[in-house]
Order: sequence, then C-alpha cells, then structure tokens
Amino acid sequence: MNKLKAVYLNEVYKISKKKKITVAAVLSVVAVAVAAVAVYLVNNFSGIRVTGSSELSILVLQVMSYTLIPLFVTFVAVDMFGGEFSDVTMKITLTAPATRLKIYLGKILAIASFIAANLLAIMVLSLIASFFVGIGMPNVVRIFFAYVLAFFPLLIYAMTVVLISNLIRGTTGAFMVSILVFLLFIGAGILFPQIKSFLFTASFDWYRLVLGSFINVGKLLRVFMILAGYAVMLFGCGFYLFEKRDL
Amino acid sequence: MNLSKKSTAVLSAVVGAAVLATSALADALIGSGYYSLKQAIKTTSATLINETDNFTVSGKIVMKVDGKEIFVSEGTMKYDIAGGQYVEESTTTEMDETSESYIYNGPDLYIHKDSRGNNYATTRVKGSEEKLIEDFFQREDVQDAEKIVDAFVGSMQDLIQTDENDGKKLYIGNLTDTSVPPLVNALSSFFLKYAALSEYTAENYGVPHPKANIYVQDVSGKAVENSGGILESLILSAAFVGDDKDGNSHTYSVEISANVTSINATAVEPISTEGLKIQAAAENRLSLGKKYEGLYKSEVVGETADGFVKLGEQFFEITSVDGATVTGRYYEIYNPEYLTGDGKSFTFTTIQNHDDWNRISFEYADENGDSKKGEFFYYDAANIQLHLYAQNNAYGRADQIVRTFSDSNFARVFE
Amino acid sequence: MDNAIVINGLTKKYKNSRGIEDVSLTIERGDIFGFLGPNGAGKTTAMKIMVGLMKPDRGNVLINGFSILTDYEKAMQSVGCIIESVNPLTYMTAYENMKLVARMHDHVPDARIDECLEQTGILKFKNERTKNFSLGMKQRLGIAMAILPNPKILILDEPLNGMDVEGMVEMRLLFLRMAKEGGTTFFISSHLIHDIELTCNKVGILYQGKRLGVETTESILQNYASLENYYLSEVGFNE
Repeated sequence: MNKLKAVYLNEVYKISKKKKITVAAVLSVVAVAVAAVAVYLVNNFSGIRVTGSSELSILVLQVMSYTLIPLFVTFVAVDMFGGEFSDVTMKITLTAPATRLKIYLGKILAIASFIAANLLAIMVLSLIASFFVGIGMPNVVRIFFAYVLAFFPLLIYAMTVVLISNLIRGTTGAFMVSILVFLLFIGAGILFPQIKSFLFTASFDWYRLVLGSFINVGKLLRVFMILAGYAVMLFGCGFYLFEKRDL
Repeated sequence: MNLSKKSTAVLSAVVGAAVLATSALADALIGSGYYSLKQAIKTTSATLINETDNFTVSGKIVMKVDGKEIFVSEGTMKYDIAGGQYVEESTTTEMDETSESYIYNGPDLYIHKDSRGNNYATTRVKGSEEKLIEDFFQREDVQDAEKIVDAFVGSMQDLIQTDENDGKKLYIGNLTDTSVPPLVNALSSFFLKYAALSEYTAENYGVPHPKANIYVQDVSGKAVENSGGILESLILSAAFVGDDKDGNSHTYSVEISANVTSINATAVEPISTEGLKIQAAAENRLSLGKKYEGLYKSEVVGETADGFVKLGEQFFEITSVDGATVTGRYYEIYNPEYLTGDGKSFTFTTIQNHDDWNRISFEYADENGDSKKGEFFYYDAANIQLHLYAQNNAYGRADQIVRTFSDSNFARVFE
Repeated sequence: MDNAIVINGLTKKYKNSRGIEDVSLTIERGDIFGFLGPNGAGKTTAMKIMVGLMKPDRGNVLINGFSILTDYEKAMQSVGCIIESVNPLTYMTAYENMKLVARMHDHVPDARIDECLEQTGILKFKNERTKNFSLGMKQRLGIAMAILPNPKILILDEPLNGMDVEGMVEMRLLFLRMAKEGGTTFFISSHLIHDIELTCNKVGILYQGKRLGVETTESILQNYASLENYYLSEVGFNE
C-alpha cells in the first residue's frame, strides 16, 4: 500500500509541476468569471434570470464538464502515459520498486485527483461568484452532490484516454483520437438515442438526477452500474496493454 | 504467474464489459418516465380518436398572482366520434367578469352562443366529411418537433417518476430552481415578461408587471394512466418569481388540469334551437350568394400642394353568381385632366371554392395578354377587398400631383 | 553461497532476429561485475529484462533470490539502476527528480539527497531544471538517483557515458568505495575495456547475443597481458 501511495504522490507531484496546470487553473477562473458576468448582465438589462439561485454553479458545471475539463483531462492523461513513454521518463517510474499494477493504479488515481480538484475549484469559484452576482442563496448541498456525480463519467473518459494512450504511440495521435472518440460518443448519443444507455458520455449530465425534488434512485443505480462496468472494463484493457508494453 | 496477470486483466475486461452491457440493456429496456409518459400520451390520443365511440374531456386553467386568481377558464368537451359531433362548453372568469360560451358542431348543424349575445345556429350544406379531431401525433411537423424536444430534454427525462397503484400508473415530475435548465428558464421568463403578462396586460388585470429578477421557481406535474393505457387525468403547474418596478417580489403561477371521463358513456345532444336565429344552408355565409351581384367602386385620390383632388374611379362588377360559377369585370375611369393612356380593364370567370371561407380567386389577362392572378374577399356589409397581383396604376402624372392614393377597398354602388 | 543476481537461460528475440539467447550468469554478493561486449551485442536488452522494463521470451532473473517476473517489488527493493541513458524529467529540477526516487523508498531524508548530489558533484545544480543539463551532468544525476536509497545492488548500463576523464575517475572511485565500505554489488556494462579492467573484479562477455566466458579480473590478468587481449581471444579475433 505504501508503494501505491508513493506512486500516487509522485504522479500528483508531476502533474503539479507542469505549466499546463497553471493554464488550466487560469482558464477555469476565466470561464467561471465569464459565466457570472454573463448571468449578471442578462439579469441587469432584461430582468430575466438565466439561472435561479443555485443554477450558476450548475450552469458552469454543465459547460465545463463538456468542454474544458475533458480537454485538460486529455492533456494530463496523454502526458502521463504516451508522453512519458515517448520521452522515456517512464523508465524512472517503471524501475522503481513498485509493480506495474500499482504504477497503473497510482497514475489513474492521480488523474482522478486532478479531475476532483478541478471540479472542486470551479464549484467553489462559482459559489463565490453567485454571491457577487446576487442571485440569492445557493443550495450548497445539492450542488455538492451534483459535482460529486459529475466526477464519475469524467473519470471514465480519463480511463478511455489512458487506454487510447496505451494503444497508440505518440502523444499527438492519442490526443486527437481521444477527442474524436469523445465527440463521436456525444454525436452518437444525439443521433441514436436508443443506444444512449451504452454510452458513458450520456451520463455526463446525470447529476441532474439529484437536482429535482424527486430522486430517481433506480436510474441512479443503473447509471452507476454502467459506469462501474466501464471502469472495470477500461481498467482491465488498459492494464493489459500497459503490463505487456516493453520499453 | 506472468500469464495469470494478463489473464486477470483480460478477465476483468470481460467482466466489466458484461456488467456494462447488462446494465445498459436493462436501462434501455426500462426506459425513462419521460418516454413512457410520452408513449401514454400518444396511446391516449390514438385510442380516443380511433377506437372509442365517445368520451368527455374537461379542462381548467387557473392563473394566479400572489395566490389571487386573475384568470380562470373551465371547459368541457364531449366528443361523439361515431356520430361525428361534439359539444364544447366553457366558463371564463377574467377580472371578476364571467363569460360563457357554447358550441355544438354536428354533421348538419352548427350552434354557437357566447356571452356577447352572438347566438346563432347554422345548418350545413353538406355533411361534415372531415374528421372531427385529428391525431396530433401523426402530423409530420409534430413528429419532427418531438425529436428535437427529446434531445433537448436530455437527462431531465429521468426526473419523471412512475408508480403503480391499483392497476393505475402514476407519473410525477417536479423541477425546482436547481433543475430547470438555464435556457428553459430564460425563454419562459422572457415569455412571461413580454407576452403572457406584458406591461399592458398586467395593467389591464390590475396586477404588478414582473420587471426584474424573473425566474422559474418550480414546475411540477402529475398524470394518471388507467389500466387501458389511457391518461385519465393530468395536472401541470408552474410558478415564476419576479420583482415589480418597486422591487417587491411576486409569485406568478399557472395551473392546468385535464381529465378524460365517460369513455363510451358520453351522449352528445345539441341544445334546442328555439329562440336562435337560424341561418339556412342556402344563406350559408360561407359562400358567395346571388345577393352579391352588382357594381363596386373605389376612388383614386391625388394630393396637390393645395389639397386633394379626385383622379378617377376603379370599378369592380360581379356580373353573375350562378351556383359556384362567378363572372365579373374590372375597369378604370379617369378624370381626363390627369389621364395618360387607357385605364386597365378585364373580365373573368371563376369557380368559387366553399372551403376558402370568404375568398374568391380568379385569373385574368392583362393589357399585354399575359395571364395574371387576382383575388377578392367579400364581407357582410356588401364590401369587397380586391387584390390584383400586377401593377394596376395607370394614373396620370400631372405635375401638380404630389402623391396618389388608391386602396383595395371597394364599396357597393347602389342605384 | 550468497548470490546477488542469478540470470537463468534468458532469451529475447527481436523481429530482426537480433537479441539475446540463453544467457545465464551468477553474480555473487560484493562483486563488481563487468559486462563487456560490442555495441548491439544485447547488453542493454539483458539489462532491461533484469530491471523489468522488458519481458523475456524465456528464462528468469532472480535478484536477492526474488524473481523479477513474479516478485518485482521485493526484487527491485534494493536495486538502483541506469538503463541505456539517463532521462530525467526536464520540467523538474535535479532535486525534484531525486525526490521522485526518494518517495519510492522508506526513510530517504532530504539530507541524503544532498549527500548523493555532493558525491556525484552536482550539488550546486540542485535547484536547476534538468532541461539544460549536459550529457555528463545528466549521467551524474542518473548515478545520484540510482544510489539514493542506498541500494545493495547497482545495475548500471554504460554509467560513464559522456563524462570527462575527471568525472570518470571520480565515479570509479565512488563505485569502488561503495563496494568496499557498503558491500554493494555492481553489475556494470561498458564497451570501455580499460575502464572495466580498472573497476571490476569479475568480467563476463556478451557477444552476438550469447554469453562467452566469465572470469575474475585477477585470473585474466595472470593469463593475458591485458583485458583487451582476453576479450579479443574470447571473441576469436585474430590480428
């Protein structure tokens, strides 16, 4: 367990040292600020609230979870696998006394932490912004649960990128294919709603399930099982490739 | 051991895929409350229209501001599909004034009564062959709109809860301010502010006009489906919150309810026509009668620096109405002082179409012999409105004329 | 007998039919083993397999009695290594790179990081990003990272690559001191015969993917004028 923790800490350390993280943080702040200003202006000029008291955070979540967060996740995940393999820095990680399973798991946990930190940051920022915009007291508990739920499909996407990055050598290719897969899944969900249940992207806004006054527990459970199935499958496939890869 | 590590990875991939496939399949099969409700609405519509003899639909709309009712409308519609007739009765209370209306629509009788004293009955020329009501969901535009709505609703479709009770299926949905999507919020708030309760309307009703901070506070709905798959009751309510010009907050709400009752146990019987003005089929206002035969005139006026002068007259004559065949002519007579060239003139013959309400279209040949289209509308007070889809102003352009005026309204010339 | 490294019938074939075939070796504890061979003989392949970067087609490697294939963590617990080249994370400083290694082992204080950087002569570059390091500096950093957790076994692939003469002597002295004072076992590959002769007490030759003789440096020098002569006679090279 100590080794896993050490791998995890090393990976988090690596992510935190990258310039891309600063860019991600700045862009997140800008995105929240833009949303807040837009909502404020619409209310001031037309008297129409685009969002109710809690909606600014949800609006920000909806926009970010389809755009910037997947983009950052793709960068980080591709860097962590394809990137390290191509500049051979993976050697430092692999020759440390930890099994490849622990390294693989540690890396995925680090990406998961990155997603969680990103969500936490925009949640806090958007809550602060909603006070400034003056649209009343947000329902913090519901917003928190919504953000927690938004985490899972993003993690599944991250694991998909990890799989792709272990399948395709070269970072640019892996990056492109990942984005393409993301868009294809979303497109397929819109064009063929009958296969939606099979696509993890369809659950990107499943947090809406906890926003109404009625909580559809059955549906929550089914989506959770679908995501869990994805997680196990992607972990298995990704690890298989990672394990058998020679450096 | 090396092999087993790989096979464990493969095994977990297979197990994961199996879990994914089964739960996704289950999810797809269970569907959402939204889809089953949509299906129920379609089934109800199709069953009532195609498979029942008669039924009753009653509905009610209530609008409130801060809990005070400002508009209430209640109605009952009894449909006799087999007999091709229906009765519609409604009571509306607006600004403390109550009005009632009654409509009977049968194969050979139409009765309309309203609070303003427009009470009359009309006998029909021919039996109504068109369907009494059309299945809304079979229309192509509705089917296309449905797909757009489906995509838009997205994950919200799972916010509709279903429940079974005594063989009846219950649909319940509730959106709070956290769950209403921003776009829906903004559009419906916009609709409330500028259309449903615009400044003018609000003043008429004597209620505060929502000016700022408007948002959807709550939307909820409930529907009951009976064992036959028919939705027998539906309740929808929505509440908006907004500030008036003084900054005071008000709640604006609307409730809509509908019930389907007495399936195959509804009798539709028109009220007695005694005391009503009866219009016979021959005088049916839906067709141009012989009484419209005659000459109609419209004056062309010019403006000079000093005032207005008459430039000439345009004449439209309905020379004969023989059943459906209508013949007529058009000509212009100008004051020679202003006329340059000949005035336009033509004759036409056309067949009137009874479905076209009070409109008759015709074709004519213009001065170059080209075929042009025209149409005229006829009104109760022997007035005609004529539209010619060609330039028809051969007016003089004497220097002193600043502008000319002519319109399409022709008045009957009485001898 | 206490063996540090046991290599058993190691085979790995590449598609171009190069690679290694049926290589077996036993390194006793405290040995400084010199792995000699021309470029492309398969030294790096063998060493990649030894530290788990590559999977063999056949055969096994035991380090401290633990199989690299099934007991990776235990086998690598007290191993430091440089394989092929040193590739530090360029967006991090020397210290931060060292920190990555330190975290993977218990009780490696920051003082130990300084100590290793001092021993390899790059302490003054501790807080500089490795992006601008020269090949020699990178090599020194690689050695610092390898020795950081006080490993009992060091597997070093061309460790003196790109270093100046001064550096080579410094590192050689460091290795010898570690072997003498800490009883550290070394497995060093090199194509520099003179360097192997000065550093190693045992020499093994890998030629065209196959292991040739293994002898102590002492006995070689008794029978041959130099290690070079022994090497040439082993690979069957006639002047």
